[in-house]
Amino acid sequence: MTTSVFQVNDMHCSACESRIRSALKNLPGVQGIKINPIRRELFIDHDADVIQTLDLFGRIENTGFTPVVGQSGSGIQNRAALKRLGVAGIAMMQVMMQALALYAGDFQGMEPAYVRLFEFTSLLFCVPVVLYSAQPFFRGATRSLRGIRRWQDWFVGLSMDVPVAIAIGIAFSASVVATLSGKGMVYYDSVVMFTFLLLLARFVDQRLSARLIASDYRSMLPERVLRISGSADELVALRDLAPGDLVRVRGGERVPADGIVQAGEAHLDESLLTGESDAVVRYGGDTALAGTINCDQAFTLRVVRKPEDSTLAGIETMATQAELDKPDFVRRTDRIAGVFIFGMLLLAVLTFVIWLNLDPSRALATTLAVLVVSCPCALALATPAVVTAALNFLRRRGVILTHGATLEKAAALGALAIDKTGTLTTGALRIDSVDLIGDLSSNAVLAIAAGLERDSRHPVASAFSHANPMRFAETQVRSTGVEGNADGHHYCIGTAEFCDIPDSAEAADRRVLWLTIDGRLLAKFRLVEELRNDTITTLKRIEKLGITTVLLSGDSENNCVPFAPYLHLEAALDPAGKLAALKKLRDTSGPVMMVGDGINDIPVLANADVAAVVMEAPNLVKSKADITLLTNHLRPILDVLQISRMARRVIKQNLFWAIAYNLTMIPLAAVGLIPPWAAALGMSLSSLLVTLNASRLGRGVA
Amino acid sequence: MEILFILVPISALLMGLAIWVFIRAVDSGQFDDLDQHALDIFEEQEEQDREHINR
Repeated sequence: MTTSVFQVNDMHCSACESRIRSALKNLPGVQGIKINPIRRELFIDHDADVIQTLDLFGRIENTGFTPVVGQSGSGIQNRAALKRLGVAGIAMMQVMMQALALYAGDFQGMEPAYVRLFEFTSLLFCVPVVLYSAQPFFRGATRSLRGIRRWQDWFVGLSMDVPVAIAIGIAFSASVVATLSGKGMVYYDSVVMFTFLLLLARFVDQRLSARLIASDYRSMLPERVLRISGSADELVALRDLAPGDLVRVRGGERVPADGIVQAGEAHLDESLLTGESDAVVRYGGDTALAGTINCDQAFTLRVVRKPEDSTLAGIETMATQAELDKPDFVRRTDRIAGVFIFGMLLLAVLTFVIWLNLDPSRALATTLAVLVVSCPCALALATPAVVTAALNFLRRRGVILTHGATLEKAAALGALAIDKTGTLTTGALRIDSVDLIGDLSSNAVLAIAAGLERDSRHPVASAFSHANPMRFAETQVRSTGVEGNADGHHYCIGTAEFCDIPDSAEAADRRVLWLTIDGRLLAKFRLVEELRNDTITTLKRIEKLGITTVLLSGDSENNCVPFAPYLHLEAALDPAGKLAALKKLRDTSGPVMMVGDGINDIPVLANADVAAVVMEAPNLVKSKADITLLTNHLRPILDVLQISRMARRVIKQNLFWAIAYNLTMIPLAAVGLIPPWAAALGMSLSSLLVTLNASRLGRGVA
Repeated sequence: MEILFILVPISALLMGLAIWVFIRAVDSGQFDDLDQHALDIFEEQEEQDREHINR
């Protein structure tokens, strides 16, 4: 199966989407269609032997849209949009000036010859606006009307462009008739202003979503890479990298592909992936991920995966999937907007008929005002813009929502259950106890350990930094331990495996560190993790949101003791016990978010209202997750809780504004209290308002 | 006030000129990337630094 991607820039409403969908879904060979309305991308899964990308292209074109193969063909589209906007803007300046003169003339009297002059020049400037700038509305409207096959389509299948195009068309033709015959009102000012402001709102919306969305992974990787071949380095393009290549990553450069650090150590800023800006150290043999920045000296990397298969690219794909998955509230407003349009067209006709009987001279102006003021653009923009802003904010903080609907659920949470103690600690360790096995004193043992760990930057090393180090001529730092020679003895410190300690329950515990002399066990250090210094404040802030935090741990009570003062503790639980604790928590505090990562957590994760897992979790566990955390910190969880609540609030504000606006303005317009130009101004400004309100999301979140 | 019959067409011509200039500007691509140029100052600095070192 192949997936073809098209950028369809003139697809901007749910009616357009369903039109494309219905044109393609029954074609032989087409297996699935996904549409990303925000990026205006179309993903078609198809069997390349039965139907090819080119055939699909033709089919989409036949429905009246202009597809571009591949993503983001928006450059040329952008220029055209800008030109349309510019022409409408310049023409608007001129037409408004003349309109002012005409209004003044209405009050003070003006010789007919001058009235004709102003009307004709206004007409001159209105022609390019209607024929060129307003084209997208006319094309959108014809497309929408051509797509109507069944009677039901009239209720749900009409796009926003239909009332807009009708309003522009009627106003312009009525004005032309008035100008040529010398009788009646002209509406050139309303036509140009309506076109200009609507184009502006669309332009801003387009630019906002383009900026909010982090572009694809390729733009975050270097275009050219220094590949080591034989003795010399050569610059090659990113796409020519293959697994097995050796690459030199210089200081300040981004790692071009997932790979293994060859020698020495690499200081990497992984903030692009994890949102964590402190550099981490990777040693020879460790993995370095594409997109991380080398903060220190150059190192050599052996490429393991091609850039397009990298973790970074995988994250992008996941994030895109979440955008495709529309939350329920977006679906609901789409349907409301669809019904609304048909209703408004009916109301406009009704208004015209009634006013024709009351006062024929004002029938046209009133109908125009109703048509323009009622366009539910703000209603349609109210939610999707907020959802995009929220998803992108969280993405930058290292959180990926796998379903768009998760945002809705996260806003209603009442409790947080954490399984991982790693979520609360820094990863830095301190010595809890020392078990002496040989005949050396504890100070002597500490000195040896400190001497060995002196040159290591592994988090474990910091546990020994307070001791007085013994002098070693040379130490070798590996990823699982350190070895070195002094006074004719060979010392090793590290994991059980590194020090050749036979398997036991303790040997598997990575919180135990072993020290040997010439292969003989000397001492055993038990380390404990230190609380992250923001953990306590973050826990307090979560509590302030009204959320109960519980640590559901399978660990023994002892290991959990450091956390006891800060949250509720349920230690030494088996999976069934965790499940019971989760249910109890839900009964007392409301919907629960569970943070976990082990296979044994699957039943608990599946039962939680929102399941969050860390990136390193096994795929089976990740498949149950609503949220993937790129770091195992508590911070991103707080971000999810805050942003989801903010998003819910902003969506409510937007919907309230859009509905309140339409409910108050439509009756006023229908009784003739709103002139067409004021209707045009109000409607386009309210679209702009909801878009800007959405872009506000995430501000003020530290 | 008869002067308006000359001035208004002249202003119309000027507007036409403005539209023509604007379209040319857009087509030349100068509005394609409005964010990149803010970062250009860093690029130039690097080049100057390199020249300085070479000398």
